[in-house]
Order: sequence, then C-alpha cells, then structure tokens
Amino acid sequence: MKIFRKLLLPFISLCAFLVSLVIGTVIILLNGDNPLVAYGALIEGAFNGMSNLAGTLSSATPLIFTGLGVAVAFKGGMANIGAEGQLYMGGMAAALVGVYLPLPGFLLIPVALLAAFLAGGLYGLIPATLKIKTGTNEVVTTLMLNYVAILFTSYLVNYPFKAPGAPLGMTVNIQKAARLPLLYPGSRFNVGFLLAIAACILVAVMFRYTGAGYEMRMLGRNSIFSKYIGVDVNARTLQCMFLGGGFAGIGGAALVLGIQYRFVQNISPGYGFDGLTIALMAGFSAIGVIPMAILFGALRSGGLTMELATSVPSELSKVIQAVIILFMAAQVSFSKYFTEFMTGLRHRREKKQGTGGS
Amino acid sequence: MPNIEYAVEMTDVCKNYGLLQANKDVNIKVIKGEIHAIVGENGAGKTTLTSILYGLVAPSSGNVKVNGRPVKISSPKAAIALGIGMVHQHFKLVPNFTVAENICLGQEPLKSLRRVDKKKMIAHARNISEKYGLKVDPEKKVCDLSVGLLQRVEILKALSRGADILILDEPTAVLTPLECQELFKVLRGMSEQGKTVLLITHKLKEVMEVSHHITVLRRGLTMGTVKTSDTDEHRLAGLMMGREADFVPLEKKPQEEEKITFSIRGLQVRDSFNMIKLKDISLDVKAGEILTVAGVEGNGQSELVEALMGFAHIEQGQVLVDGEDIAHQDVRSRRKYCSFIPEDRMKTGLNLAASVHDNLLGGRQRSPEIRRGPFFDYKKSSRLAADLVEKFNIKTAGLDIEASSLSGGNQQKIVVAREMSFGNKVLVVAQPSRGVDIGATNFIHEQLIAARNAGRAVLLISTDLDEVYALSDRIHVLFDGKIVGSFTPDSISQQEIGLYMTGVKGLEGTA
Ligand SMILES: Nc1ncnc2c1ncn2[C@@H]1O[C@H](COP(=O)(O)OP(=O)(O)OP(=O)(O)O)[C@@H](O)[C@H]1O
Ligand SMILES: [Mg+2]
Repeated sequence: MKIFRKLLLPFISLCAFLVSLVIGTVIILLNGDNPLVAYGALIEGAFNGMSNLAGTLSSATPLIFTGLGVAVAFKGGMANIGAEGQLYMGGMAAALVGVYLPLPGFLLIPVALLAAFLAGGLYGLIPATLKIKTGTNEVVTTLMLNYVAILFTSYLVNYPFKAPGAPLGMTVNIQKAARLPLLYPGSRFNVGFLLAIAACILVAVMFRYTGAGYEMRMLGRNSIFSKYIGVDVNARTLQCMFLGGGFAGIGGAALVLGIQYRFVQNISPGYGFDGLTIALMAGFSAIGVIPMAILFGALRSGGLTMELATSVPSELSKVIQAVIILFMAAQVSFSKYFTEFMTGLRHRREKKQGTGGS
Repeated sequence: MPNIEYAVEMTDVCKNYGLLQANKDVNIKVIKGEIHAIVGENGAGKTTLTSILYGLVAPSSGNVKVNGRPVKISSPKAAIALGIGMVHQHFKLVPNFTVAENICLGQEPLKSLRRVDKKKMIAHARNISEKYGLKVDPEKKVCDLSVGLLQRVEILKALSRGADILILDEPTAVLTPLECQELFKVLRGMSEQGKTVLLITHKLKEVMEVSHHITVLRRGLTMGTVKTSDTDEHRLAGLMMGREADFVPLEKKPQEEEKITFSIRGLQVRDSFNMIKLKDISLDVKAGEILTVAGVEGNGQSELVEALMGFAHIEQGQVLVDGEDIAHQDVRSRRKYCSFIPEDRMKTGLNLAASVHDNLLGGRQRSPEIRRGPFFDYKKSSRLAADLVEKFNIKTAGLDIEASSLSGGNQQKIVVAREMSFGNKVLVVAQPSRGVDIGATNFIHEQLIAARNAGRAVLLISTDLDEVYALSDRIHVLFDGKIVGSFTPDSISQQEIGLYMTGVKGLEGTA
C-alpha cells in the first residue's frame, strides 16, 4: 500500500501529460496533420541521437536555474514571479565580467557566475525589503521589476555597452575563456548543466538537512508559527529571496556564458516565466525541478523540429505546456479523491467477505 | 413509546481518510427537541461525524435522515437549507469583517438591489446578540476579537440563520463557568422551543448537566446511546475509554523554595489601536510554583501571553527571569529560558501544513540534540518525536503526516508535548487542556505538577476554573487589564472568584 501511495503522484503527473498529448492530437488533427508524424518529429528532435539530446539539455540548463530560483523563494514564503528580471540582471552582470574583466582564464568563469548570482540576488532583495518594510505584496513588485530589468538591460546594451556596428542592442562577445566548457562538441551543451544539477542537490540538502532550511520551510507555510519557534522571520525572508534571485541570475549567466556568448537585448524567451511553471509542477521541490525543466527543454527544442517536419507550429508545444499546468493544478484534489475511492472499494470488499475492517 | 420524532438519524456511517477509518458504522438517533451530547476521546470521530451531518465531509458510506426524510447533504448550504447550523471547533469567520457582517454573511439585508443595509445589519446582530444573551460589539472587526468572543460570534451566526438543529463542537472550551451557564440557558431555551442541539464536549460534568441523551464514540465506533438520567460521569468515562477512569491527581510537593524565578514588573501593553490592554501588571512566580492568571476572555490574558512570548510590544515594564530583563529580547533568546503554550494552536502553536515530526521539532532546529555535525540527523529527531508521541499519547497515523489531519485534541497535545520537552525553568502556559479529552487533561495536569515539583516556575493562564483549582498554588484575577485580586485556591470559592473575574468585585481596591 505504501508503494502504491508513493507512485500515486508521478502516476497522476503522467496522466496529466498523456491527457495533454491527447488534446495536442486533436489540435494537430484540426490542423490537418498526422499526429504520429508530428509527435515523432517532436520526440526525435528532443531525444533522438546525442546531438538532439544535447540540444534538449542545453535549453533545460537555464530553466533548471530559474525553476530553482522560483522554488527556493516559494518554499520560504516569497511568491517570486520575478525570475525573468533576476535572470536579466544576472546575465548582464555575467556578460560585463565576461567581456571586460581582465582575469586569468580559470578565474573568469567563477567570477562571472558569482557576479550573476549577486546581481540576481540583490535584485531579488528589492521586493523582499519592500515586503518587510512596507508590507508590499511581492507578487506585484517582483512582476513589475521584471520589466524594469528587461528595459534597463536593454538600455545598457543599446547605449553604454553596445557593440560597435551591431544591428541591435548587444554587447561584444565575451572572452573565449569565459565560455562555459562544452560537454558535447558541436552543441551548446555545457558544464552549466552539471552546475545546475549540483545547485539543485545543494538546495535540496539545505532544505532537508539544515536548521536554516527547516526555518525557511516552516516560514513558507506559517510565518506566525515560525516567529513563535524563534525564527528571525525578516532575515530568513531576505535570505531565501537572495538565494532565489541568485539562482535565477545564474540562469542568465548560463544563457550568456553558455549559449549566446554575449548579452543581447531581450535575451530570454521567457525562461523566467517557464521557471515559475516548472517550479509549480515540481511542487517547489528542488530535485523535482530537474525532470520538469528537462521536459520543458524537450518541448522547446523538439517543438522546433516538429515545426520543420510538419506544418504544426512550435506554439503547439506551448499549448501542451498549458494543458499540463491545468492538470497539475487539479491533481491535488484528484489524488485525494482517488485514494479515498480506492480505500472505499477495499472496505466494501472486506465487508462482503465478512472479514470486516479493523 | 409511540411515534418518537427523530430530528437526525444516521445509520452505518463510515468515513475513511486514506487508510484511516475515522467513523466505522456509526449509528446515532437524535430525538427532536432534545440536547444530545456526543462524547469520546480525542480522535474518536466526533468532529468527523458532525461534519458529515453539516455537509463538510462526504461520508464513505451510510445513510442520513433529517426529520424522518432520507437526505444527501453535499454542502453546508444544503445543510443550512435543512435547518442545520454548526459552530465549529475551529472558527470559520472572515477576519476583516465586522461582527455584524460575519453574522449576516450570505444573508445580508439589502437597501437596494446591490447595496447592503449596514444599519439593519448591525441592528439585527445586536438584536440576536441580546436575545440570546451573548454579548459582543457588532461593529468590531472579527480579527480584533479574542478567542472567547470569536466563539460567541460563531454561535450567533448559526442562530441567526434560524437553525432548527444546532451542532456545537466543543463550544464550552473557551467559556468561563458563568458564560457556560448562560450558553446552557440558551440551549435549554432552544430545546424548549422544539429545537434540537447536538453538543460535543469533553467535560462530562457539562454533559450530565445539560443533555437528555448521550452517544459515546470510541475509535470511530458507536459505543451506544444512553439516557443522561440513567448514567453518571464515571460510567461514561468507562465507556469512552474502554476502561475504568482511575485518575489520582499527582501529589503536590510542599513548596520550600522562596526563590523568585520569574517576575513581571509594571507591565504595560497596548493593542494595535493604541488602546491600553494591560495596566501596570506585576507578579512573581517562585521556583516550584504554579501561579495562575484567571479571567474572562478579552480582559488581557491574550495580550499578556503575547507580550511574554515576544509578539507584542512592551511599552513599559520588565519581564525578569532570574533577575535578567528579557522584555526586549527576541523570541529565540526568550526561548532559552521560557517555554510557551500559546492559546491559539491553529496558527501560532502549530504549523498545520507541516508534518507532525516537523512540528514536534520546532524550537530545536539549532540544537545539537538532533544534529550530527552541521546537519540534521533524522534518526535522532525521529526518535525524539516518536518518544513525545508515545509519552503524550498523540494519536497520529505517523510522524510524516500533516498536523492538520490530526483531531483537535491531538493537535493540542503536540504543542504541549513540544513545549514541555525543553525543560526550561519558566513555563508560560495558556489554556493547556483546551479541547483535550479527560485522560489527556489529567496527563497534562500531571506533567505541569511534575514540572512544578521539579522546581520550575509555571505561569498558567486559564479560563477553566476546574483547571485553575486543580493546579494553582496562587491565583491572580485579571479584569480589564488589571490584576484585581490575589488568592490561594483554598481561600476563595469558585463562585466568588467568578465575581472578581466579571468585575463585580475587586475594582474598588484598585481604582
Ligand atoms: N482531513 C483529515 N485527513 C486525515 N485524517 C483525518 C482528517 N480529519 C480527521 N482525521 C482523522 O480522523 C480521526 C477522527 O478525527 P476527529 O476530528 O473526528 O476526532 P474528534 O473526535 O473530533 O477528536 P477531538 O476531540 O480531538 O476533536 C482522527 O484520527 C484524525 O486524525
Ligand atoms: Mg474534534
């Protein structure tokens, strides 16, 4: 029975995924395409062969970071909708270090990552401070600060740091030594992915095995109780928002140092917002973020292949994502109903056999 | 006996929570116009059973008849339509609304099509508040009320919906004896008018006093329904627990020490509206003493506890532990010397969304007891938690389930278990046995007396006079933010102390 319970959640997640595929099928059919061909192309584009797999994992990398950034903040009770903005600030900081700092190679990457972490983290401190000092709702402030960051970085790469002669706002290329080493040549799959996994494990360990992690978990669910058991509520709020912003910031660094090799205006196709979805689907579990981010990475990179192979637009993968979110949201109540239904059946059976429940 | 009319008949009702059976083939018949009590230990399934009747919980199987007609009650709305009202063990009020708005919620008198008639609403609230003798200011916001007043609003809310069958889940836990008597008067009045009352309580004395029939539940099973006049407290307790209640109160050691461990000097505290809630409170608790602050809800006890816990700003005065002033320390520093059982377990005392284990661990997150090196050692912490669960007989399906799925009394036991376990020299204990069954109340009292005998200083805040008399070495009565009298339990009767608590006596000396 225990195993049955453990498997229940993944099982329902799978159901949600399958249902969204069915709905996707209907859309593909309406579009006049063959669903098998379309899904075939999607799966092939995402997973078939090392190079496709590498593509999936490389687009998953920034998603893991933003997902983690959102998950950490939410766990500690801060509804961080600002991962996108934090990613921009982090990416910008990493680019500036990568372009301008004359450091020896082995130092360049760590310093750039640290700069990204600090930039994202400090940016995350703004809404946290506002919440503590004035009680401003962080949902609003983090959301608005996204646009501030996008526009601010856009200004920076269009004026002070613009690459001469570039057609649109972007910095010059970062130094070669600042590029994240590749794991699979010919792709952009790089050590950033391993760092992302390591970060998730680190956070998971922090939440489960440290006093600070315990205090953040408690704070996320009940701030009055936390205060009562001696948690410094304000300090912990700042810390978890700093961590969350920092990881989203490294997500920006992963984009700049690992994929684009420069900062381009509007550099992120919504990785920060995807991070929100990913974190939600993972139930704000740091480890859970990894498979969800890979799934989203697959939909992203496979979606493009699908678009090429058929006339199905890659937006379809967005539809699939949306349906998944919908089912995920319904899942909690569904799983409760499901367990009760199953035990109800069991008791009825026992009664019929005359054994009775005990 | 020809045609007895039943207001409620529930047959073979079962309710499963996951693998746990909260109700197993429960049968209960409630005669119309009677006060019918439901008793049972913590976790016996009382709240579950009445929640089914009120449509909050869907039964796994079983039949319900109301006024002789089979019904399916799928929501509170359906229950209200059938004339069923409920006052919950845990309050369900809108904190930002006024008392009147809460009472009229969903049935507001309208001025025009869209506008609510505020005046009428307040008048209505005042009306029923006076009619039933449950006094409360209809224009006050609910979030500013103490637990005791919240209770009154809940009762008024149900009454205002014209309930014919009223369910009360542990309504008396927060009331003083006098308020209890008033409530019982209300209930008897309702019964005389042909209304039916379902009453859940742990206090058998009350059950014997007010009910006509009693149904006993034990571990989800019906142990039977008895006529109140045919039984007594002793037999009821036996039915509830499955064994004879053989409680012998723990002997209090004569008090030897004169050392003052904990004292409060000239404490003044205001609420969020800048109203003075505590005026110049001073008291001393000796090592090995239980000092009680007794009083009716709303006279400053809540503020006193909050100020001591570090939740309220202390405007003036000192809080001394062995001579050291902790009045302006943060909560964590205070916890080094003091343990706190807050009166509100739902939000303050517990994190309902966290596991039983995590709740039992609170306050120890930095302690080496549960660590190996810098990390938590779950073996150690689980052992600690399991020991507390065992020692305090907390009924839970496991350490890793959410605290919210425990019954009310078992939740309270978590708070008590955790706070008693630190071994601090000062214990600030507010309503420790609220909602807890007889067995567990006795156990908690025993623990408090043991702590006292071990030389700890216990400050008890309680509205339950039986508890006050069972535990106290000395009693201070708090009225309107001031201490209006100090007594030893053998120097004053419960009746007389009631007069001090309600301000009839005692004021002349302090004015
Ligand atoms: N939502 C829930 N999920 C899981 N288990 C639950 C839930 N609600 C109640 N239970 C379990 O059902 C059993 C009966 O609980 P119930 O609240 O009915 O007890 P009770 O008789 O009202 O106890 P108390 O006197 O402590 O209030 C308990 O073991 C409790 O843990
Ligand atoms: Mg209950």
